[in-house]
Amino acid sequence: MTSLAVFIMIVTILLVWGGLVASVVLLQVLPSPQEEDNVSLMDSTEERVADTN
Amino acid sequence: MSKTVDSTSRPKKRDTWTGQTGFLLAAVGSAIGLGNIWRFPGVAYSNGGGAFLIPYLVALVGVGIPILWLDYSLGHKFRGSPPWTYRRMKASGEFLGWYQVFVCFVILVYYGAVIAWGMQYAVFSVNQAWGDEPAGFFTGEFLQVVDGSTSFSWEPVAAVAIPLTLMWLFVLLVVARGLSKGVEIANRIFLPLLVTLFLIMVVRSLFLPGAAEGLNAFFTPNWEALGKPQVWLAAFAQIFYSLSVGFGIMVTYASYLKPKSNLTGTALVAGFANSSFEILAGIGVFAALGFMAFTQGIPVADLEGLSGPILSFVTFPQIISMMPGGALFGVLFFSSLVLAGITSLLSLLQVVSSALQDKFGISPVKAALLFGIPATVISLALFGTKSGLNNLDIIDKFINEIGVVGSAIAVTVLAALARPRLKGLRRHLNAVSSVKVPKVWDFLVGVVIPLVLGFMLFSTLVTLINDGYGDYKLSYVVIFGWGVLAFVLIMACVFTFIPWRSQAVSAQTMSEVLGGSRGEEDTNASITTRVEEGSQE
Repeated sequence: MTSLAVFIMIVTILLVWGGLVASVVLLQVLPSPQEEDNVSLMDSTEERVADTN
Repeated sequence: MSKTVDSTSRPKKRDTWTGQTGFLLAAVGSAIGLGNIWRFPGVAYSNGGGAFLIPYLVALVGVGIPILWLDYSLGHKFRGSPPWTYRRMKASGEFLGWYQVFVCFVILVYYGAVIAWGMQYAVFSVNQAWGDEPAGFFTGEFLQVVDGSTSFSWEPVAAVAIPLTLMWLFVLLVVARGLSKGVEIANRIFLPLLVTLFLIMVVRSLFLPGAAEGLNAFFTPNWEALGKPQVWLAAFAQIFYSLSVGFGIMVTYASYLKPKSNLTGTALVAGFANSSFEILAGIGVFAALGFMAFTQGIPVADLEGLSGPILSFVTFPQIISMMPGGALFGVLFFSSLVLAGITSLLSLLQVVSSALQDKFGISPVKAALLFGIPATVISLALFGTKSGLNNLDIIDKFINEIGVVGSAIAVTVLAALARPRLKGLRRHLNAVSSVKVPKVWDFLVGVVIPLVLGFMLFSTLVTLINDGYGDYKLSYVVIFGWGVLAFVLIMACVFTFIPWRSQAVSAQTMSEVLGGSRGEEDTNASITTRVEEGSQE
C-alpha cells in the first residue's frame, strides 16, 4: 500500500468510525430536555384533538 | 372518508419499542442491507476511490442525517404509519402514505428473492457447488435464466422457490408477533450476529495474500474525480439509498418510539453506524478482491464484476474457490448477506403491517396474513421462476430510481408546505432531543434535498424514456418497469378511498387519557391510542 492510501484509510476510519463513537457518547452524555418535551407533546396532542374534531 | 369514534372503553395501546436500544438496533438493521455489502465498495472505487470519502461525508451530513431527522420527526410527532402520519398533516397526504406503503410492498417481494439466493449460496459454499464456472452456474444451473430480450417464463425454479417459501414463512412469523416481540427481538439477535460474522470475514480477508493491493486500489484517491458532478451525485445516491429514508420505513419505526426519545442523537448514531458498516464492507470486499487479483496475477483495476449481485454471486464464489478454508469464508459471507437482508426486509414488512393495522384496526397476525399471502404468491410467481432475475432487475431499477426518489421528494415538499411545516418539526425535534437541529436544516430539507433528488429523478426519467432499460424486450420493461409504478399509484388511490376502520380517540377521550397519565413515561403512547369501532359495542 502507498503511504497516501494508508493515510486516506486512517482518515476515513477516524472520521466515520470516530463519528459513530462520538455520536454514541453524545447520546449517553448529553441530557435530554425534560420540560420542553411536554410542551411539544401537548402541541402535538392539541393538533390531533383539533383534527379529530 | 372517516368517522370519529368517541369511546373511553378498552383503549388499545399502540405497541412501542422496549427502549432506545431496541429502536436503534432496528433502525441500524434496516439501514444495513445488501447495498452496504455489494453496492458501496464498487461505487466508492469507481468514483474516485479514497477521494470519494469527501462527497460521501458531505452527503451523509448534508442529506442523509437531515432526511433521517425529517423521517424521525414525522413518525414521532404524528405517531402512526405513513398514511396516518401524512393524513394528519394534510387530508390528501394519505395518498402519499399509501404510495410509500406500496413502494415498500413491491421492494419486499423481490428483496426476499435475493435473500433466498443468499441462503442457497451459504449451503453451496460448503462444497463450492458452482465449480469452476461461477458465472455460468449462477445464471444457468442455479437460476436457469431465460433470455430477457426474447422470452419470458413462468416455469418455477425449485432451487429458488423452496428457500424463498421458507424465508417468507419465517419473516411473516416474526412480523405477526408484533413490533416489540417480533421485529425488535429479531433485530436484537440478528444485528450483533451480522456484525460478528462480518468482522470475522473481514479479518480473514485482511490476512490473505494480495489484500494490501486491494486496499491500495480502494483507498488511493483520484482527486480529479471530485470535479465531476456525477461523482457527487453518486455519493448522494449511495447515502440516500443506503439509509432507507424517504419511503416510510423510518417514519414507521419512529412512530413506535416512546415520547421521551432522543431523536436527533439516535439518528446520528444510526447514520454513522450505517456508514461505518459500509467502510468495513469496503475493506473486506477489496481485501478479498486484492487476493483474487494476486492469485490471477493481474492488477485489481483489471478485475470485473465489482458491484451488485455479480459481485456477491459470481466474483465472491470465485474468491471462495481460490482460498484455503474457502468453505467457512463462503458461509460467513453469505450468512452475513442473508442477515443484512432479513433485518432490512423486516423493516419493509413493518411499514405494510403498520399501515394495515392503523387503517383497519386489525392485529399484527391478521395484517401479516392479509399482505403476507399475496406477497408470498407474487414473490414466488415472479422471482421463483426462470424469468426471476430479469423481472427483479427491471423492477428494482424502476421502483428504486423513480418510486423511492419520487416518494422522498414528495415527503420533503409536503413537510415544507403542510402544517406544522419544517419549523414546527424542527421545534419538535429540539424539544425532545439533546443534539439541537440548526435552522439551516429547514433550507437543506426544503430546498437542497428536493433539488438534488429532483435532478436524480429527472436524469433517470430522461435516460429510461430515451434509451429504455438494458437489452430487455420493450414489452417486459413496460410491464415490469412502468407497469409496476402504475400498480403502486393505482393501489395507493384505492387504499386512500377505503374508509378508516380505526380512528384516533375523540377530543374528550384524549383529555381524559392525558389527564390520567400525564407525567408517566408512556403518556404519548396513550395519546395515540386508537380505538377500534368495535370496542364501543
